This record gives sequence, C-alpha cells and structure tokens, in this order.
Amino acid sequence: MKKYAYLLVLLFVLTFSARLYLSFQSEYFANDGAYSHLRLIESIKENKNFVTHDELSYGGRDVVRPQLFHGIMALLSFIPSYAKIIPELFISFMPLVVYLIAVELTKSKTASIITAFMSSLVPIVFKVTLNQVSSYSLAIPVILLMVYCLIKIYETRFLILFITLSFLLPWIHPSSFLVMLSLLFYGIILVSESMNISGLKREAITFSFFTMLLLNLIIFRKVLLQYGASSINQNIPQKIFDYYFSSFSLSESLFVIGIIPLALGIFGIYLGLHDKNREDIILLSSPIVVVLMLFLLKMIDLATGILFLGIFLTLTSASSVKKILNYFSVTKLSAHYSLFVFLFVCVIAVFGAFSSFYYYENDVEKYAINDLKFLANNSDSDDVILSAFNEGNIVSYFSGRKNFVDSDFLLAPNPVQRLNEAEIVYRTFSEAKALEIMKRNHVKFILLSDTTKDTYGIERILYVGDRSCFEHERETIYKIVC
Amino acid sequence: MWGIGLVLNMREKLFTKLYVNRIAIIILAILVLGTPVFVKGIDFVKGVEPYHNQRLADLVGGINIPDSDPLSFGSRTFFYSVGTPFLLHYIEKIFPANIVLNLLPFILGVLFVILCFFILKKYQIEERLILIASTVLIFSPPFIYTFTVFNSFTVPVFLNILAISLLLTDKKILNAIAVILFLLMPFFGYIHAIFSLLFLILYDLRRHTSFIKIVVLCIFSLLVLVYLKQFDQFYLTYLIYERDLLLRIVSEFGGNFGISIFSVFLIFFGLRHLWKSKYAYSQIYFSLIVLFFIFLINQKASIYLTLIMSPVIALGLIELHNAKWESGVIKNLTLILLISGLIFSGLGFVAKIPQLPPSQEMIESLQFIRDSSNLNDVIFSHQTNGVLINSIALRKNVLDENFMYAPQLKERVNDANSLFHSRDFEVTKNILQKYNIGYVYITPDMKNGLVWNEPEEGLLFVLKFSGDNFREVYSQEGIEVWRVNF
Repeated sequence: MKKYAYLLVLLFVLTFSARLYLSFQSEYFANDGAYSHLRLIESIKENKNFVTHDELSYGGRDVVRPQLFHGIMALLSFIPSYAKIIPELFISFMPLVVYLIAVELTKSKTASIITAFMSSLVPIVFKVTLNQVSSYSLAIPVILLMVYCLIKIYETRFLILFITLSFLLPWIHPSSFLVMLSLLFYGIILVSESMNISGLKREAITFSFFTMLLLNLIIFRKVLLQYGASSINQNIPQKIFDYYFSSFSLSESLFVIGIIPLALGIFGIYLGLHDKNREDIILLSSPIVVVLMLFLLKMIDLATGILFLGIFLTLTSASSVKKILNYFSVTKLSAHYSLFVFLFVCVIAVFGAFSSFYYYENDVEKYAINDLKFLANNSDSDDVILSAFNEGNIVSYFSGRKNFVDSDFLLAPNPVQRLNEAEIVYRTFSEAKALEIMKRNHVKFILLSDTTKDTYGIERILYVGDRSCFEHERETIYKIVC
Repeated sequence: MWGIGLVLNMREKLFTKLYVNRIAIIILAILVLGTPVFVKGIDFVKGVEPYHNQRLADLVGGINIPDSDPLSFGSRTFFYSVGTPFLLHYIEKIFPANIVLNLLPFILGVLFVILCFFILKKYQIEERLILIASTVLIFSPPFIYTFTVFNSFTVPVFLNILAISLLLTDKKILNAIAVILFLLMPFFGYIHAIFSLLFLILYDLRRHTSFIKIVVLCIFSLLVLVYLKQFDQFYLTYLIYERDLLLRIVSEFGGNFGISIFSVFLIFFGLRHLWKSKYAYSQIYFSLIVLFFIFLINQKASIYLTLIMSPVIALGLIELHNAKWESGVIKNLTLILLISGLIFSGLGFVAKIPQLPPSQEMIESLQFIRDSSNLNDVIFSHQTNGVLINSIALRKNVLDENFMYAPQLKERVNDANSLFHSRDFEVTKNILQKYNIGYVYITPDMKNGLVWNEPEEGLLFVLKFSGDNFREVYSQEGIEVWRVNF
C-alpha cells in the first residue's frame, strides 16, 4: 500500500521537476497562445477586474473567455516566476488523478501506476501545456477529477466535489462544452444499451449537464447570440482549419497522441466493452467518440481534439496494461515479472519521452524579441503591427502595440477578411494593393519572422525594396513611411 | 349541520386558494409585460413591427384595401393580412397611436394569461399544473415579444384564445361570438386560421360535432378565398435570412421568437409522462408536430407552439419533481437550475426589449430625411432599417424585411450586397442609378458588424473618397445620411 503511495509521490515530484526544468530552459514561453493568457492575467492584476475588452488584439475587440484560471494566476502572482511554476504545478496533478481512475477501472495498482506514468508523457499534453500559460493546465486535472468523482459518486464527498467542479469548470475553460456533450452521449449510450444506470449517477449527470449548460449560456451569451451553435468551434475560420488539417497527417497524429497510449487505449476500449462492468469504459470512451464526431463536423480545432483523444485513450489503456501484466504473470516467464514490468515502463518512457520532446518546441525563441521590444519605444500607441495570425499575441505582448490579426477569433472583428488581407500583404507582388490594405487598416509596421515565412510559404516580401515607402527598421521589422 | 359547514368551509378555502393563485399569475404577467413599458415609457414605440402596422393602418384608411404599397421595395403589390391594420385604424380613432401601440399589447397579454388559465381549468387540468404552465408561458420569449411589441400576431393570438374560451362556455350567445371570431381569423393570416382549425378539429369536434364541422368548413373556405390570390403567385419564393435557422429558433441564440433550450429539455420529460398513457394524448402530439413545422417556416408562430408546450413543460417539471431521486440535494438543485434557465431566458429577453430599434437618434435622423428629401427619393440602407424608412421618413426603400411577395427580391438582395461591399465607384453608381437612390442611410449597427467591420470598407470608402458625388448631409451619434449628387 505504502509502496504505491511513495511511487505516486515520486511520480508527481518527477513530473513537476522535469516540467519545471524544461520550462526554465527558456526565458520565454513556448508559443503565441501563452502570451494571450499572460496579457489577460496581467490585465486582471492591474485592473483588479476581469477583462471584457482588449485594446490590442485586432486593433481593439471584446473578450469573452472564462477567466477563473487567469484570476487564480493573478492572485498567485506574488510568487516569483508564478507564470512558469503554477501551470506546471496544476498539470502535474494529472498523473495522480489518472492513477485514481485507473485503480477504479482495473482494480490493479501496478497497472494503474504504469498508466499514470504513461499519462505524464503523452506528447500532445506536453505540447499543449509544457512551458505554457494555458487554462488547460487547470482544466485537464479538473475534468479528470470530475470523471473520478462520477465513478465514485456513491460516496457523499465525491458527490459534493462533483457538484462543485460542475460549477467551476465552465469558469475555467470552454472545454466544459465537450464534457457536457460527453455526458449527454454517455447517457444516450447507456439508455440505448438498456444498461441500468443507477439513480444517483443519473441525477448527478443530469445536474452537471444543466449546470454547465446554464453557466455556458451566461458566459458565452454574447458569442451564442452572434454565432449560434458554431460557437463551439470558437469561430475559427475555415482557412485556419484547412491550414492545420492540411499540414497534419495520420502518421503524425499517431505520434502526437503517442503510439503506446493509442494502441493500448483502443485495445483497452475493446477489452472494456467485453467486460461485465462496461459502464466505466463507456464513460471514458464517450469523450473519444464525441471528439471524433466533432472532428468529422469540423467543429473542434485539431489541438483540442487530439489533446482529449490522447488523455482519454491513455485512461482506457489501463485495461490493456492490466491484461498484459496478467497475461505475463501466467506465462513461463512469470518468474521475471518485475523485470518485465521494468522493461515495459522503460519502453513507455522511451517512446513517450521521444515523441514528447520531438513535438515540443519553443517557437518564441526563434523570434528576434528585441525587435519587438524596440517597437515598444519607437512607435505610437495607435500604430498597428502586421504579422501572421499565429504570432499576433507575441507581437502585442512584447511591443505593447495593436496587432492586425491573432489566433483568438471569438468576437474578433471581421477575422476572415483580416486573414485574407494579411495573406495578400505578405504574398502579393503589388505594392499598391498591399499599401491600400495597410493604409486602410492603419498598419505602420510589418513583421517578417521565421513563423511568418513558414505560415505564408514566403522567403521575403516582394515589394519592400521600394525605399521611398518601406524602411528596414530592424532585422524582422519593416516600417511603412509613405 | 357540522358536516355541511365543514364542506362549505373547505370549498371556500379551495376557492380562495384558486383565487389567490390566479391573482399571483396576473401580477406576474403584469410585472413581466409591464417592465419594458415602464422602462421605455409610453411616448416611444419600440420595435420595427409597430411602425409597420401603423403605416399599414394609415394606408388601409377606410374600407377599401389598396392595390399597392407605394413605399416598400420601391413599390409593391399589397399582399399583407388586413386584420391588424384594419383594427388598428379604428382603435386609433378613439385612442392616440402611442397609447394603443404601447398599452394594447400589455392589456391583451394580461387578458391572454387569464383566458389561458380559464381554458386549462375548463379542461379540468390540475391546478398546480395550470399554475406552473402559466408561469412557464409568462417567462417564454415568444409570449413576452408578442405582448410587449405590437406586431401582426398580438391581436389575432388574443382573439384566437378569446374565441376558444368563449366556445368552451355553455352560453349560446358566447358560442356565436366565438364562431364569428374564428371566422375572422383568415383575415389576420393563415397561421391563425390553421391554429383555429387545429383546435376545432382536435379538441372540440367531439363536443359539438355537426356545429363545429360547419365552422371548420367556413374557416377553410374563407382561408382559401382570402389567400387564393396569393397562392396563385409563387408563395415561398425566396426567403433571405441573415441568421441560420438554429439562431432563429432558439431564444438563447438570439431568436426573437425562439424557444428556450431548457424548455426543449423539459418537454421531453413532459412527453415521457404523457406517453405512459400511450395514444390518449394524441391531439397534443399532433398539435406539437404541426405547430413545430409551422414554427420552422414562420418563427412568429412560436407563440402558438409555446401555448401548447407550456402545460407539457409544466408536466415535465412536475414529473422531475415527483420522480424518485436518490439525492434530495441534487433534485432541488437540478429543479432550481431548470427553472432558473427558463426564467433567465425570459428575463434576458425582457431586458432586450427597451433596446430594440428605433432609438431617439434614429427617429430624429429619419425625420430629417423626411423633411429634406423629395417624395420620390429612394433611401438605401440595410434591410432592417427598411420599414423605419417607410414609416418614419415616409420614403421608399430598396429592401425591407417583408420578403414575401417582394418584387425582384433576389436581384435586389444581390445588388444591395454589391453596393455595400464594392469599392468600385462605377459599380456603385450603376446600382444607385438603377434604383433611383437619392440618399444612403447608415446606422452605427451597420458599421459595427451588421454590414461592415472596418471604417473604410466597401461603400463607406466610396462615400468618403468620391468627391462631390456624395455629400454627408447628416451626422449625429454615429448615424450618417449621405445625399447622392448624380
């Protein structure tokens, strides 16, 4: 008993330290999205209020976003390097919750601790949360904790915790929509399979569903009024979907989810469905099916979808791990059981760590941040800086100036037109056309970073050689002077 | 003696309880419907539809129905239902227009609730159910809209319910009045006549067999007679909606006549309860299906759908309440949540009503156009402003929201889109000349996402940078009026 507790503590400490170590390797956060959250946190800290309007994004726009995570971060901002430490601390709890769920699912502590270890090395979780300021760091453990509470709903303390978390999740992250749909799907499957769902669980699900529905209607009222059901895909333009989907292959998805979680997860679902106690495996596979359906309808962005697939497939892989361990223990090699477990963990570690580190990269380090900081002191506060959509937040954070377009599309003014116009400015050979767009949108500076070049598939801007109109201010910055 | 006294006492208590409940529901209706009236005052009329009906009432004038509407879509054949404008015309001979347009919906709404209470009581429905159903109805966005903003449904919906309640009485004279009211329904619109027919066929045929058959036949004949001329034309020609169907039918997504998501969930519980008796309630299932389909075609019909849905939703709530729950806390919290959801959508809608157009600034700007333009000038704006251009500025529009039977609708919509979004002066000039447009009317909504998102997008650019071809003659509070100088 104690052995597993020690192992769990060790796993937590290892995960947290490894994440902290990797995080502090860079002065900057991993990508553009982190700086959007960071600006929000700093704004809350400064104004002591939640943010409803952002002056810099898209030249000024309304913000509709759950901000509990940002509020907590602002409260804890007295801690040195809080933005690096706190998100890593939150997400480091994930393996612990995975362990608890896996124990309920398999009744095997060895299989559960291996699954927990596996969950600490899911590449997509690494990519989305390592060295990031992201509300996923809090939302993922909360969602998993809700799943655990639902399994143990018959104990009053878990019932209370489940009710509390149902209230909190919508204030943390919009993925509560996904949880709502998963619960609905879970209910439908149980009814269609004529499975006798117990009263308390049914009641808890009903309550949780309506709580999240009501809170989301309150939080996203403005968004729902504008976009209706397509709010669920966060108003991401088709162009952006195509951009990510076209650059993504099946083989890549295998690596991002993790080969072992994917293979064992699918096998786990198969095993679970043939088990007497199918209820829990149906609960864990509901989000997987919902994500796949949303993928088909293109109603969820790729990163979010793969993230949830990765997490829940890791959870369902607990059954496979147990099966493999049980199978080994009845073979002639069972005398080497401990060695086998050790090797199994090593294989998971090698595959997990390899894929995780392969996919983790710090995009921001590639920037000439000094160029952006230079703009903070050498431009007017109303100047707009043009960049690709996936670097708009970095631009605004370091320069303190308005961006033309960024990756937060909800309630953004005319995002499709802006995306098209940004592409035209970077790709066109017509100086007149580019100038017309930039003048109309009050663009004073153009950023041409490696990310910009990758995004638009260009090496240089064709017309900036005209010295009468463009000055090469810094390595990655052009100023419009005519 | 003691026994008789006790029975009398109990009956008195029962009557008092019923009376108190009815009073409570009436007070609730007064509060919900009265709040927008109280906030906006009775001097200003909110919503586009009252202005439309007012103009039609002025147009109808006397007994003769005009052949054409000279202002909408430049000029179009008069294909509106005449019931409401006719009635409005005569009521306004007694009361001032602003009082009628603001207070009549309120009064009819309160009476509507009382009549619904009466009808449900006549059908011997349990009192608790009536109470909850009435509350659900009062907080439903379709009810709030119908009885706070004077529109083409306000009067006929009330008359329909009045006719039903009169028919349910045992007095012959009242039954005769009911028949007259039912026969009037086709003049208010086909949806009202369909609802009358639905009620008579499904709910009352068994009571007055031959009598009702004649009434049904008469309504049907009148319906055909009134709409024969129109069915002749291509009826559902080309409907343009800027918002998806889902956005129009769900109130939480902004549909003015939409139904709440929470009521959709609750109705399933209600139907589950009814289904225990299998086909005993087939009239309810049938009415819900028919009205739902009509609602999909015309969202204003949601008031009729809500009327039938409310008792079923109430039944759903009671079913949930009576069901065996393992956790009393979850049960109470879930019920609170569902009720909050229903109330939240209603109250959210009440708050929206005082913000409906036109604002005082819009009225002033349109009055400016009326005073400074020629009678034959056509005003170009977004279709949501079309009715106000007709009604306040008293000038022709290019487009408005009354799409049915509108002339060259598709062509006009395409031209309007080109005009809004083109930055090419020649394209703009050709379209302006095609429709003889004399003024362009721009509101803040149009510049904030309704048409444009950028300050110099499309037509805004042309207006600004085309020299003397356009002149800004009015600019107040974000509203701009540009005169076309060619």
